[in-house]
Amino acid sequence: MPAQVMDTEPARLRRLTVRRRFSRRGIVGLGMVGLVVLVAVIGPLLAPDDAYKIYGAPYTPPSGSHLLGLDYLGRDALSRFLDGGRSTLLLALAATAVGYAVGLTVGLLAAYRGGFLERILMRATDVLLVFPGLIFVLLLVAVYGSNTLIMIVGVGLANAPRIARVVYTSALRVVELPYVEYARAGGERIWYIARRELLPNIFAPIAVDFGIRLSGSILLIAGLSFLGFGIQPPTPDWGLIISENLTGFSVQPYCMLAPIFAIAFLTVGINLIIDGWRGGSRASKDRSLASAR
Amino acid sequence: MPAHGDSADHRADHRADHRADHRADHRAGLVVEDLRVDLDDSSFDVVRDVGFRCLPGEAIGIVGESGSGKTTVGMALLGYTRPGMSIGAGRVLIDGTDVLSRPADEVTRIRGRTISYVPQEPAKALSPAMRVGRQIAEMLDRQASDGQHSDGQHSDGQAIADRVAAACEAAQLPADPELLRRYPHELSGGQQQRVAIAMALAAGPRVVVMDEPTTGLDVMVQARLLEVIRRIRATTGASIVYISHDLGVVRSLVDKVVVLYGGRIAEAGSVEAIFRSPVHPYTRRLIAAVPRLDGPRLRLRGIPGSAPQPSSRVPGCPFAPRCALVTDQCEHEMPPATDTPTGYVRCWRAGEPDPLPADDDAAGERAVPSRAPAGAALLTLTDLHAVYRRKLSLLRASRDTTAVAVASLSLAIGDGECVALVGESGSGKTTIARCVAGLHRWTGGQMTFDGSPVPADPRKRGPGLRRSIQIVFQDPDGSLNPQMQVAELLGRPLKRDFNLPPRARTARSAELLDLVHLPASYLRRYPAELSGGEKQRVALARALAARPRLLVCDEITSALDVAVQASILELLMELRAELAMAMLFISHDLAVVRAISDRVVVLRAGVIRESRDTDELFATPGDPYTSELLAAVPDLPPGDYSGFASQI
Repeated sequence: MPAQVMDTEPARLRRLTVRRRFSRRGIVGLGMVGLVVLVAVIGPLLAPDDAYKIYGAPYTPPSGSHLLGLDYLGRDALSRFLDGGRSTLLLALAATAVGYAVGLTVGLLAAYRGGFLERILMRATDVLLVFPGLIFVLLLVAVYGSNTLIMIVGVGLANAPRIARVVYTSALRVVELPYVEYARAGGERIWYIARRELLPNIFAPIAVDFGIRLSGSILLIAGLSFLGFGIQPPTPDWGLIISENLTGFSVQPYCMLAPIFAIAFLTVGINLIIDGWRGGSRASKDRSLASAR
Repeated sequence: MPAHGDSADHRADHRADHRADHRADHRAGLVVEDLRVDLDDSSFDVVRDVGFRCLPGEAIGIVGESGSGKTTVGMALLGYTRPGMSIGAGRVLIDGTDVLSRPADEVTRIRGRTISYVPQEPAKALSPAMRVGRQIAEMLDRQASDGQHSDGQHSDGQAIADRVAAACEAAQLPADPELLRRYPHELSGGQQQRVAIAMALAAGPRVVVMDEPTTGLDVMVQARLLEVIRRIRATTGASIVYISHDLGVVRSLVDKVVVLYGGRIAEAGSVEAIFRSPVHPYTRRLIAAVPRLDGPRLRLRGIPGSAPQPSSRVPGCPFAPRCALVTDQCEHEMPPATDTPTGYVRCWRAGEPDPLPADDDAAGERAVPSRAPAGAALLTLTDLHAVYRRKLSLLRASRDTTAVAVASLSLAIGDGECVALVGESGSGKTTIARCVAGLHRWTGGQMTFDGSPVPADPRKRGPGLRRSIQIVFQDPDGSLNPQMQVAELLGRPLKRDFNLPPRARTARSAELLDLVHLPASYLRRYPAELSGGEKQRVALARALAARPRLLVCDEITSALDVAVQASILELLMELRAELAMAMLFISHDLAVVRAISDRVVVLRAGVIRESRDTDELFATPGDPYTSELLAAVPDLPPGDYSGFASQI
């Protein structure tokens, strides 16, 4: 007998018992990400001091006037932390978006068209996968120089092969399903099929992947800044703050702790949201995206 | 004591000893009493008051629609439930020992040894990473390592090999050591199922639960497998519980039948009694819905409505909402079990004539109208040649091998004619459907529609031609995009092909739903909220949205229950008469084909063996292969209940 025997009862069960879109875990994740975004957005307004001004000796420990102490140049660590979130988040989001623009196109095209195009695209993807992301971006920076645009595009492209791989693998299962064939037989254009038939049905694995890519982008940008190619000092940036102050970790760890925790919160929070999201609509039988892992 | 386990089997002997005192008494075999399975975290039960008895060497069939609780009962016999359910009450006695009251670790030992399970999909039940011989032997290893009989004999490789061989022989797997070294994917579907059966038999169980073991297999493969099961029953002396929605298969295999509806037993009795003179209205409707190979070609009648969910049952008889004989009492009070000559029935109005199939409908009206006069050829295939590619290497396109699916095939479908393509899997019937629908590129020959040539690529066909040929697929779950509501599923072709504005689309979509007998409120539903039959209806409505002149139906009922199948076929007949479409109906089920088609084309290995008028073909099959196919169909014998008052 077809799958429906096994499916109808548990599906109805889930409909009965699960009303909310997020599990407790997802709500915790939402809170964590919300907090970090809030800090990034309104942080500059709350900064007690000037993020660029030198207040005392490098690596001065926390005190009443400087809650997180001073950094390697003697600037207020708290103010730099509150000031630095925006650029970090925006850059990471932009880079991830570039990655998805390229990765989705390549992955969907390869899976849907098949044949020669599939071979070319996926082999090219494999070749790019061989380069570690950092090396790849450094290569681009070496050729085109270091600026924000190159960094966004570079980090995006470094992510793209991995995204393409995930999209391709998930889409492979969907492209041969009858509803996609029906659209094909009806003469639908590839744009419509990709957007309406394929994408919504591979959303779960892509959403899971998104969290990994976004936090990966943040770390990659931080790494680039550390090497001196990303955001240029004295601009405050979470990734940069961590790398700048690394030498003083044993002396004054507090100036780095806030950005470290913020990035960790963001990464863990995004993954919790994705784990705890039970699908947005009645359409999904499979309520837990965690099962896509 | 299983006959095949006799050889040097100390443990089986030992077990027989402590069982010896029960052998002769009334407790032998399988006895199920008042079984109830509950849904966790709710007050609903999935199955309730289920009880039956199956003597050693006997086979009992559990029949019912999807969602009737068949599989739940089958698994509960092994003390197992799917996640989210638990066994609430009842006893499952095997030779007098209650499985359900044993501690968990003992139940684990009982499973596979005393009672074993043959799952529905062997391809998923076998471990893909383990050689099949090892998988069968593992059943014995596990038994041997229990430590209960540590006399050293049982871990002996030769003894295990002997028993594996015996199990394979019972399952009629070739005694080829090479076969046992293969991995499941290297076996055919029929062989995989035999391996699953051999695993179930390996330890010489007293009870074997078979859950739709032949569903999804080809009709010829199924026929051979049923032969295997019959032989097992005759030789092992085990009680066989056979779960199936296929009444023909059950009819040909078992001694007793339990009809399950909404998790309750509607009727139980001997196989003859149930099939010849059923008394429960549900059983009657179910049997009348089975298409037949013999007798007059009757228009099939489905059962209106769909099987109830545990949460939506009425307090009384679960069948009441769909029953033609329903009274107030039926809705509010669960009928008690009333004895019948060979079993019992739970119905307040048992045996009363069902007004729908009998009174409402004169025999003449129910008969299938003789074939419509075939108009001019609508679709012609001339010397069509098609291959499919087997992908072997990702890098080298040239290394891919091709297999011939259709070899210079010529076929014509007249305007308004219904042509059925039948054949085993691999006969090329689906490839033809896909070529016609524009989903498969043929390598040679021509196709014309209404006199003009048809290109293979659907994008090159032009909107008129694309609209004229529509397809409905086999798999109801895959046919509809799960992320779209019915309104969008139906609205898209209306927008694409007719450029209707949104309001007109909604109106026309509601009209289309009405055409397939679904309420307009379904426009807001997602596919996950539809039953299998309802999904197929929506898929049909979507195809009809284009006002096609040729409807290609690729096995559209083979994934459905018999009652749902009957109502879909009923609907198709109605639509054909109403809309004057031609149909290319692809099926492996000859009885279904007989019920619906004007002409039958028998295919084998991509070549037409026979193409005849339906009535003629079933009266006097011309090709030996057709006769072979006909013989393989587990059909209901002519004497069985067919839904007429004259027989009551």
